[in-house]
Amino acid sequence: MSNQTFEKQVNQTLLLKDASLSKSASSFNERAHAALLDDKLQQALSVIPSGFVGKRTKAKAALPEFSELSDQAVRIKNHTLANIEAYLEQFEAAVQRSGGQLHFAPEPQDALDIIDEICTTKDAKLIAKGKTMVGEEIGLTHFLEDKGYETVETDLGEYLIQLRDEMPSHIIAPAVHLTRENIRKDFLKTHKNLAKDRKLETPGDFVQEARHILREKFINADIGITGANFLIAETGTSIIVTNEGNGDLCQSLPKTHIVIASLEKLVPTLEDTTVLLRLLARSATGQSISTYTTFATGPKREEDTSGPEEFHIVLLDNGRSKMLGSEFAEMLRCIRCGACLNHCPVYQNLGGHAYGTVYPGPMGSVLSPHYFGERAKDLPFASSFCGRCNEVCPMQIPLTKLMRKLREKPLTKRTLFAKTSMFAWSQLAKRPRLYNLTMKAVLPCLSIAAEQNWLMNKVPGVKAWQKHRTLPTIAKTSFQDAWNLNCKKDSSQENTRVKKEGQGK
Amino acid sequence: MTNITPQIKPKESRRSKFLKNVKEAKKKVTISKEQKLKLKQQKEAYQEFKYQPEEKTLEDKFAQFKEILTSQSAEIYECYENQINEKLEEILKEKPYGQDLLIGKNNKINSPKNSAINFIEVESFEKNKENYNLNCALTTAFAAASETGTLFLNSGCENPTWLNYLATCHIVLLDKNSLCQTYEEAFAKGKKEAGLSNKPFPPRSINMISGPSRTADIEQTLTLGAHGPIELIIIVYTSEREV
Ligand code: SF4
Repeated sequence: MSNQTFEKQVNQTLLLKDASLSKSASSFNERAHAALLDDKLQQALSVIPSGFVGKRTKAKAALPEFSELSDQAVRIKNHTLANIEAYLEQFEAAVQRSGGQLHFAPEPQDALDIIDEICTTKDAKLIAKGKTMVGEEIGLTHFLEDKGYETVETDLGEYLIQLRDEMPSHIIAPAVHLTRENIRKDFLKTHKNLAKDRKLETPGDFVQEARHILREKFINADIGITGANFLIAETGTSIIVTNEGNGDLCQSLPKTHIVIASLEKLVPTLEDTTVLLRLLARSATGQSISTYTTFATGPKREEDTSGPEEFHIVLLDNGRSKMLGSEFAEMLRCIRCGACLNHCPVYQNLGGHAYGTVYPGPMGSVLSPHYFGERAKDLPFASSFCGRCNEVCPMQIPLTKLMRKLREKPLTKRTLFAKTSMFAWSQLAKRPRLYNLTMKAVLPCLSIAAEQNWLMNKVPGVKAWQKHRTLPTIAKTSFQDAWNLNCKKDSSQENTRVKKEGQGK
Repeated sequence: MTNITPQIKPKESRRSKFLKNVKEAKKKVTISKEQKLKLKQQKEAYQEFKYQPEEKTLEDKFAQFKEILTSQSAEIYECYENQINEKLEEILKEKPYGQDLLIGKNNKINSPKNSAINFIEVESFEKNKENYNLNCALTTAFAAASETGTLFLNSGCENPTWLNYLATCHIVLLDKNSLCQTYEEAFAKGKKEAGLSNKPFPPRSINMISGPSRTADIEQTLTLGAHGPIELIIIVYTSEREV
């Protein structure tokens, strides 16, 4: 399948999923509107600022060496990316040395085909899947389901949204948009074998039920698929970080373990990962470390009594190599911690689905246009450019700078209205006299109109804008006029002072 | 290293296409002299970096370790090496899980015969597939790092990885002398021990464990026992001689 057909296929599945959010929303703006009007979603989102943001601040403060480690983390990734070819080869050799297989996948379809081939050869029926953003990126679960494998998401959040056939709305907490009420309905519908009148109230009840259901899947899975937070070139190791332990069950019980990861996950040594690990959990959930961090190298060893017999790593490119040689290379440092999402005012208000791709928030606004092309073209505009994302990013990625660069790209086509208004504005701004005159005429009218809301709503664009925001009061005079007036006052005061002093002498 | 040869071989065509794409992208990058110098400096700084927090005494490390893990809802007990069995009996008596305790082969404990505990030595997971809802399992940590209260466990026949995750109550043995301060020290220890016993490093799995299994996926409410253990119990032992 060519890449274009692949894209079409993905677009179709994703559009289908989007439909659960809003029937026909296909642009960011439309989806954003739908999200703002969704009370349940707003209620669910309200926990993000208090939860993630506060915890991260505390965790960061508790580690005095945080910024020193962040500097080193940037150097690690820059160094790896600058020498990526050498590290790729070293990694491949190391994976083979430990008895595993490394499969290169230039395009998403390659990755899907490789995984399908392994599953077919193993005569797999049941696949247990850990959380993987790269897997989400290529639509892995849907693909495997379509091929007839029973594929179970085992991360609780991912499982919850699999039941609803939705996209994750957050890269760390995929089901952050769901309330207990949502989940209750889904559980009652799906887990038919359990008593209908069972107690499903506290979070503990839900967790216990999911544990019970999913355990059976782990035990019987033929294949376990996990993602990777980091890959170590020196040893051929893949690393996963979880709090639930689901990834570990995926990679220790089934006979075959497949890792799906992308090329920028590489770091040179084991010691490098320790630096990154210290930043990851603190930035992501505000924990000092996630409960489980696991290093997997090759299949089980001869003397081991348990563990997978086969170990495959599928390494995806999908547009990353192109970024490597572009002005967006810095984005490849991203460790998917989600801090930029949690701190983004746009994300906090809309949640992840409005972005329409699996990578939401500021990081997604830079990544998605590269991975998904046309479908994500309006995402660089989904930002207020407040710059909090730049500040909290442990990998020091200049997210707003990269978004600005993307806005300049021809990929992001402007509407005729935007073009003409921009043109008119630029003409005006270039002529100070004309500008001042216009302002003198327009401002008093606007400020009167602003007092009368109905009048203001007649001004083009304002009504839509006001739907979810309040318009600040508009000053009667322009800043420049006020400035000039003040200067005049000042200088006349100055003059009188000088005069008085002169007289005193 | 393994006697099973995978049937699926990676395709050379994909490999060469992948590497070619990377190579071509790299070619496009033009680096000015200034940037080159900066890269060189960055590389030197990268290689020189060492994470060195203020050094702690063993007792301070232990205090930190205990404090963090307790705050993560783990339980920590101390005893002498020759009292481990009694300590285990004591703990299990308090818990509602019965007297069965699953352990790997050649475990440190040596399954004492006269114990109130019923030690069950397990082999492959396959053989235990029928009763997968284990109550209690015991494994051994080769090191721990006090900086975040993290245990380090190797996979191997004496320490099957699945025991760490399938039991409702996971008990870990830790020699107090194996308590390090940083992750780096803990890994260095693992590497050294593997070298001494002629084992490849890293083994199939190294598990860093910092508490019982948890999730916050239901309305961001922290709940224990998501897929793995609901309880994590750590027995820190010291050999009698040193005390
Ligand atoms: S861009 Fe930075 S803050 Fe955002 S997910 Fe990536 S590493 Fe984290």
